[in-house]
Amino acid sequence: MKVKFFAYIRDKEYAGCKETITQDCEDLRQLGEQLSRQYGERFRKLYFSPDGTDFGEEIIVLVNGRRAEFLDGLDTRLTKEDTVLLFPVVAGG
Amino acid sequence: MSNGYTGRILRVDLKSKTIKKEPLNMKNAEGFVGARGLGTKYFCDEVDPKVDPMSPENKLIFMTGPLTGTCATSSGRYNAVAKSPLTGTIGAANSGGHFGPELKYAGYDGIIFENASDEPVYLYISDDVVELRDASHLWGKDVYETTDLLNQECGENFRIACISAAAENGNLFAGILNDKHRAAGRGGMGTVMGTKKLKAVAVKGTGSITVARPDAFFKECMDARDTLAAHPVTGAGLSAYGTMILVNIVNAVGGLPVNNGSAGSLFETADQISGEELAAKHLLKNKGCFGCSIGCGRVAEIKSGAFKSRGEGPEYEAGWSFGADCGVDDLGAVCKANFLCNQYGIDPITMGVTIACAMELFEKGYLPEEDIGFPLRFGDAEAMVRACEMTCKCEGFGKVMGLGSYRMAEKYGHPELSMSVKKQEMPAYDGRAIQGIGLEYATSNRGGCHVRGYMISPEVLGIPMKLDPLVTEGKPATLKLFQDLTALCDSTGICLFTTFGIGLKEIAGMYREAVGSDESDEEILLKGERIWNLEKQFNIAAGVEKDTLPPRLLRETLPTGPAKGKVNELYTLLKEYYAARGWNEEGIPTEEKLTELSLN
Repeated sequence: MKVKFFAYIRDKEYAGCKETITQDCEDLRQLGEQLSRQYGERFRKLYFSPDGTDFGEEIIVLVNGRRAEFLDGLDTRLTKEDTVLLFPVVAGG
Repeated sequence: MSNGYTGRILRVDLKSKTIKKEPLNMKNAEGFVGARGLGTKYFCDEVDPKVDPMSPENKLIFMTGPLTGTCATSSGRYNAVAKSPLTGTIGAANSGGHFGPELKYAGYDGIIFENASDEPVYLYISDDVVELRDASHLWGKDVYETTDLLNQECGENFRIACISAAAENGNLFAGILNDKHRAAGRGGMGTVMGTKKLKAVAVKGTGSITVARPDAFFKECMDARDTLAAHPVTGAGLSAYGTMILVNIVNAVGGLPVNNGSAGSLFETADQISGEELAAKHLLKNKGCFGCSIGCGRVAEIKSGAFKSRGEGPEYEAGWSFGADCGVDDLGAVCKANFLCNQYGIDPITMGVTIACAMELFEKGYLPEEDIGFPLRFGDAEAMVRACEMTCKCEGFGKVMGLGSYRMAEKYGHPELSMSVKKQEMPAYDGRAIQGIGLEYATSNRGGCHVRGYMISPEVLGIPMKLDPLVTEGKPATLKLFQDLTALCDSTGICLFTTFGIGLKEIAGMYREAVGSDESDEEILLKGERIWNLEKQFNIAAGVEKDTLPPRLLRETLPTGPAKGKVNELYTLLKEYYAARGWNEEGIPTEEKLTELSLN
C-alpha cells in the first residue's frame, strides 16, 4: 500500500520523504510498527501513544481519506490498494 | 479607566466635519464586551436595519475590545462594523496587525463615522489631537502607496488603516487594510468607507491601558501564553507552515472544492499549492501581529517568471480560491493574485470564488468571451491573474466581477452557479464532505464565512474533539457553542487562532481580570450568545434571506473521494440547530430567548 507523509513528517528526523510503499501490513498497528522500525524512535513516539495502545496525540492518520478513529483505530484493516496519509496535528483557516 | 477600556470613543460626522469625544457606554460594554459585539450594539442602536448600505446613513464603526493592546496573547484585533453592501447583513470584519492597539494607546476604544464627506478626507489622530484632513492627493492610490504617503506625511510611527481605488469605485467586497497587509477583509467594510469619501485613519498614541486586577490579569495572560506555546498547533505548527498547511489535509478528506465545486472536492495536484510547497520554495520569513505568540503570517516571494512578486500570505483560503477553486496549481500565480488583493484592498476569498464562477459561466457558454475580453477557463493561471488584476483596478469586465459572484451570475441568468450564502462567497471547505461547516455557512450572520464557528476544527483537525465529518449527529449543538465562543473571542480583541490552543476558561479568565468582573465562565459565554442573537435580530429586521446553501451543495452529489455520493443534509441540521438556539422553526429567536439574553 501507499503511505504519504505531510508537513514535518517529511523531514529527515521522521520519514525523510513524501511517500513510501509498504507491504505485508494487515492493519494500522502493523503499519506503525513497520514504519517505526524503518524511521526510528522519534517516529514511533509520534505514531503511537506512550503505552502503545492508541495513536499519538499529535498525529492524524487517514485511510483513503477517512480518519482512523472513525474506522477501527489501530485495528483498521488494510489492503494493498489502500492509501494511508499521515499528518501532524495542523490547523489554519 | 482601569478596566481594559479607555472609556472614550470618537464620533466623527464626515458631512459637518465635527468630531466629538464621548464616554464609552459602559452598560453596553458590559453586555456586549467590545470589538465585534460592542460595535454591533452601537450600530444596531443607531442605524435603521433597512438602510441602504451605500448611502451616507450607513455608519462605519471601528471598535477594539478590552483585551486589545494589553499583554493578553495575540491582542492586536479590532473590528470594522457596518451594514454590508455585499450581503445586506450586519457586517463585522476583524483585523490584526497593530492598528487596534495604537487606537487605544491614543485614548479611544472606537470611532463612529457618520454621514459622508463631499471630498476625500482622512482622520488624523495623535493622542488628543484629532483632525479631518484633506485626502484628495491620496484618492485613487492603492494600499501600499497610501500607507507610505501617510507615513511620510504624519510620521513613520503612525499606524494606517486605509482603502484603495477598488473601494472608491463600487467594488462590493473591498476591505480596510491596516499596517499594509492586515485586512478587515470580508463583506465590503472598505466599500462603505469609500462611499463616505474616507480614505484612511492614521493613528499614533502614547498612552497606556490599565486593567482592573493587574497581578491576576498578568498571571492569566502568561498561563494562556504557556498553554499556547505547549500546543502543537499554536506552539510550532502554524508558525512553521502558516495556514496553507491545511491544503493537503482538507483535500485528503475530499473537502477542497475544485472548479467552483463543479468537479468535486479532490484536487489531484493539491500538493503543488500547499503550505509545504510554500515553505520550501517561496517563504522569506514569518510575521506576527501585535503581541502574538503564534506568528502565522508569511512573507513570500516569487523570484522569477510571469508571476514575479513579493508580499504577505497567501493564507489558506486565498491559496484555495485562486488555486483549486479555479483549477490552478501554479503557486506563483496564486501568490501573485493574493498580493494583488492586498495591494488593492479586496477580499481574496470573494475574488477567487467570483473568478471560479466566471470560469464556469464561460465554459458552459453563459458568459460570452467578448464580455470578458479573453477566454477564462479553469486551470488557466495567466487568465486567472488577469481577471484578478482587472477587478482590482475596476477595469472592463472587472467592474462586473467587482459586484461578487452572485450579482455577476444573476446578470447572466444563472445565480445558482454562485457559490455563496446570502451573496457572500463560501470559503475553502465543501459542505457536502464536511457536514457541520455547511451548517455554519448557512447560519453565519454575515453570509458565507468560515470564522463564525470554525467546524473544521473538530470535523477535520480533531480540535478540541473529533467529530466525523460525514455525519450530522452532534453538529448543531457543537456549532452553537463554537459560534457563541467565537463571538466572545472576537469581542475581547484577541485572535480567533488562539482558540486552537485555549478555550473558554482562559479567555474568560483574561477578560474577568481585565475588566474586574466576578462573572462565571458560563455567564461570560452568555455574552457571546447575546451578540449572536443581536446580529440575527438585525438581519431579520433588515429582511435578509433565509438560511440556506447553494443548490449545488444540496442536490449535486460529490463524484469522488471519501464523501462520494454525499450532499449537505442541511434541513436535518437546521431543525436541530434552531432548537439548540432556542429559536422557532423559522429560525427566529423566541421571546423567551430574547428575555433570557436581555435583548427585548
